[in-house]
Amino acid sequence: MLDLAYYLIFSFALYIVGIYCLATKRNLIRLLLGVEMLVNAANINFITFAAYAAPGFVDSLGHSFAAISIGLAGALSAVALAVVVLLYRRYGTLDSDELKQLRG
Amino acid sequence: MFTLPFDLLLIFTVASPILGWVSPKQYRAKICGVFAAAALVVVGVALFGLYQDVVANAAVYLPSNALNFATLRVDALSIFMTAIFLGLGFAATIYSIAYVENSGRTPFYFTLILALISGMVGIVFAGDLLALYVFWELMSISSYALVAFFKEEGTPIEAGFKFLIMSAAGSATALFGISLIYGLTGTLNFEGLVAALSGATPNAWIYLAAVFVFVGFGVKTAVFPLHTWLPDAYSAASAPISAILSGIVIGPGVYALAKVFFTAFLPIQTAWTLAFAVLAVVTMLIGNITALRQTDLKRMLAYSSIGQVGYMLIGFAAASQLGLTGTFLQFFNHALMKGCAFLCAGAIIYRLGSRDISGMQGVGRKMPLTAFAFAISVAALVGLPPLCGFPGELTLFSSAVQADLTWLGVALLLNSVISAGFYLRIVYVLVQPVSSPAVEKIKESPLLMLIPILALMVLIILFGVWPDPLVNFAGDAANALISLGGNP
Amino acid sequence: MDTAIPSILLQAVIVPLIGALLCAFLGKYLKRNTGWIAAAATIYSTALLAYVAVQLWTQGGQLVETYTWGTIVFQLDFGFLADGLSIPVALAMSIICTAMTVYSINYMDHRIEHLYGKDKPGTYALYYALFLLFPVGLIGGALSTNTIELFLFLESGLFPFYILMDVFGYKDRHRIAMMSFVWTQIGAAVLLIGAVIAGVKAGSFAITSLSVLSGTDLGLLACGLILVGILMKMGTFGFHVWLPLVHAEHPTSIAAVLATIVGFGTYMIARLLFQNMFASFQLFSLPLMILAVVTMFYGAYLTMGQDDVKRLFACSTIGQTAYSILGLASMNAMGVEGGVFYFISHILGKAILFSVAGILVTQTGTRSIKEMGGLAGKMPLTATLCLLGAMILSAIPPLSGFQAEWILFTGVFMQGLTGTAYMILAILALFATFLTAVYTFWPAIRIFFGPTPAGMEKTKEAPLTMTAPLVALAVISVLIGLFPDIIMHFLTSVF
Repeated sequence: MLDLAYYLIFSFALYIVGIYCLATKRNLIRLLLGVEMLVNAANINFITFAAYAAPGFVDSLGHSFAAISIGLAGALSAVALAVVVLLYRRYGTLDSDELKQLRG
Repeated sequence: MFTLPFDLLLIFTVASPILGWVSPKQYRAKICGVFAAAALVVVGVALFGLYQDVVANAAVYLPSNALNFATLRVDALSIFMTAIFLGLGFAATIYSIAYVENSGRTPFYFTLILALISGMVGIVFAGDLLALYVFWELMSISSYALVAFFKEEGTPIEAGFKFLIMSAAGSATALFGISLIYGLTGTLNFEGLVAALSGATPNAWIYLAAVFVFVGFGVKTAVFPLHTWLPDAYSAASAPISAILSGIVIGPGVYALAKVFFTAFLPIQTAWTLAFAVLAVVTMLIGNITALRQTDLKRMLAYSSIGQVGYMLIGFAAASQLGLTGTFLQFFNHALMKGCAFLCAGAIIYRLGSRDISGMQGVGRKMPLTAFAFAISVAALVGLPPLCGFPGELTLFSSAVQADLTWLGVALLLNSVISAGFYLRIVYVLVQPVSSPAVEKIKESPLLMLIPILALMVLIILFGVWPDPLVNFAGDAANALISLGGNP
Repeated sequence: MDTAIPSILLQAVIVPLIGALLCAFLGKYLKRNTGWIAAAATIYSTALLAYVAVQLWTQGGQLVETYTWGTIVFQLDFGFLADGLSIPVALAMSIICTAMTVYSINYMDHRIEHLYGKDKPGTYALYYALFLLFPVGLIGGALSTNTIELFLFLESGLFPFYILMDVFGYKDRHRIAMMSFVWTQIGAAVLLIGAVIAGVKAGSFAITSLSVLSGTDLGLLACGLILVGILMKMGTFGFHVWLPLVHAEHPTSIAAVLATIVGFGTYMIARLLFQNMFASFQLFSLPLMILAVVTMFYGAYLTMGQDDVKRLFACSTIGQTAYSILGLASMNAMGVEGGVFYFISHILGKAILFSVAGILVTQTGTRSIKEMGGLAGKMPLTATLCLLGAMILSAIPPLSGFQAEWILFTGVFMQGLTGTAYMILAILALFATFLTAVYTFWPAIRIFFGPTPAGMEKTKEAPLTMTAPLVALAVISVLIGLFPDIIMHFLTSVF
């Protein structure tokens, strides 16, 4: 088995990529993908920690949390995409910079 | 399944769209609204039964005999928070019946309100971080949908999306923090966390987890610098939703922060008390000073909510039983005061059709009851006796003094004075002589809007004149949390 | 001491409140007669307070009633205390309120008809319901035992004050009402902050526990905040902008009450600062004295320039209140007794003078002194009352003003002996009193004597409900003037 650190480096890297995506992207769909990345970084953590909780034993709590969290992220995406569709119908764009009404 | 009140709430939530589907079209909104209101009353009654159990046993666990594996753990703090969730939720529901028009979608509006309240109740009932996170998402997703619900106008959807992205990123960050806590301890149960971490030597991972959890839950609480979504979302949402969001959705954030920091992160308490003290001052200053220069009534109230969050953080900084009492008390009172203020603002905007404060001259002369309730609620927000804001802010002030953080208390007083500047400005404008034809035409708010407004106003006065029961209750809630942490 | 009547002090405060509710509900039907309900309520509390005063005189000691408000985080008692300081003040204010209620019956009839016509009976309900909050606030404030309670009673006097000004005031009433409200509220806020700081540090909001802080650094801060808050409400020089305007444009029945509210600061300083925080308060002696003397001269200067009969008496309040402050600033028992005594005497005199102004305005229809003259023959009773009022203010024996000023200046000169600066200030202050005589008598002479201008020949004497209460006030003033011991017996028992 690989060292725990490799998995953590991976999940932190994924988290940072997600944050970077949220901070720099202007496309609404990409912003959503950024959020998904954050959730998945956390999920990887759960799976990893579940595997390393005790030698030769996998903790079911981490796995169940990851499974539930994937489900919740799906629900979130559904609502978010619905909002994106509404926004697209109204403004005809997916560029967040053009939604200027609320800046500030 | 769970405890009785929570079961009922979930069942009612699921039942309400079905009821909307079968009921005759022209009465659909009314029927669903009344159903939601009645549901909240029934849940309230059931909650009282649960409260008796909690008083008898200190905490109710579910599954009933599993101390360290319980998914639900109901103590005095849970009951305290649930009471205000249900109370303000009820007021906002009654108000909504008059506020929303009848359309095919209206039943879902009430479903979402019930789902939002279920989520919040679930958060405060949760016995471990898994349950807490699940209900956190239930609350969050319903609130995104509610902010964007009235899609006829542009801003709610935009604000809804901004709110959604920031808040979802926050939830994910909290989830990341929770995963780190899980990695550190191998458990997510609060009692388990206390057992696993008490006496642990602080290491970098604990600090890292604390930062992630703080950022995650702090987004929903609107702590500086994570507050930018709040003014947009609160001001774009419809009035009853603003009241719920501002009044009580702050609550789960405060609750989650308190719950995690006063259990899992007790070993590093000395580090975070100071951080919270600084954040409290910055948050209240940012909120109140920005509110000073707003011209939009709802945005002003939204910014002032940020200031109020700053007050609540004082209790974290004091990190004592008195401080937490103040935090919970202030939260409870804030729900009443800000709920009332947002409902009044909604009623004024509903009648006037404009949100610009300068155009509201003389509204008080045309809508005297609404304006009076508004004046009472903002006076309470400033913290004037004998209204309910006073005992809360007083408790926070004295907890700061007690914890040798007098500067924090002085900051609270100063902010209270600053906030008087904009709160009273609204009242000032409202009581001016009528100057525009638009104001000349308006009349008093509809009865169904007036009832919840006046009921909240009465509570504001009642809890100010007779604060003891509420302060006691908040004190019990704080004790429940302190004793859970096992480190008074 | 004991009384035969249970909860007597609570009754004295709460009966006007019940009266206010009655007026609010019955005002629509009773119209102008609503005033009699209000009068009954105020007379009842005055009688109760008089009874307490008599008991206090014979038995000595003090009477305390305590009702619990909050106990959890802080001991917040809702207490009432009747002792030698609070009883004379409460009784005097209660008497003024009673007199003004009776006076209002005719005066407000005139005012409401003028403003809103005959078909708005609801305005009577509004006026009397709000007016009765003044006795609640003033009596409650005088008797209260903790600072938060005191703040509360002050507020309950300020809110009706704003609304009454806004609804029934004279010219530019909306703006002036708001301005005075803002000023007094800021004053109240500063006072509250001081009280909260002191209360939290001392662990209790009881007025007596202020003494824990006396002399400490924090005590100085709290003392300064409380003092500034009170001075703002008293309209001393620098904080006076709002006072002449609002004082003059108010209906005169309320203007008299306003003089009481403004002067009430004297009592608060005596009670909170002199009695309980003396070590901190005495540091403010010199600045306070300078402020008082400046305010006296400024008030006199402002008053002499007025032609408007109501504005005239309004401006004089600024200077007159400063006498009381001067007494308090002398930091000795004589000075403080004199200050409180002068406050009582001044509100009696000012109530008479304002009401006379109100009579003149209703009977002649003008407010300009230039347009009046020779009215003594037409309205002899009013003229007599006006002269008596002027005599009270300018301290001419045998009226109460003389005794009060005598005691006050004894105290001030006692302080004057301690330093040259004090002595100079005391002598300057003495000069300022001569100006009072000028600005009170001169207009009185111009109004009531000399040739009668055209259009004033038909002026009639005011009805009895307007003059009788004033006669009663004048009689009380004479009584106190002849037997100053009525007041001093109480005051000397505490200082």
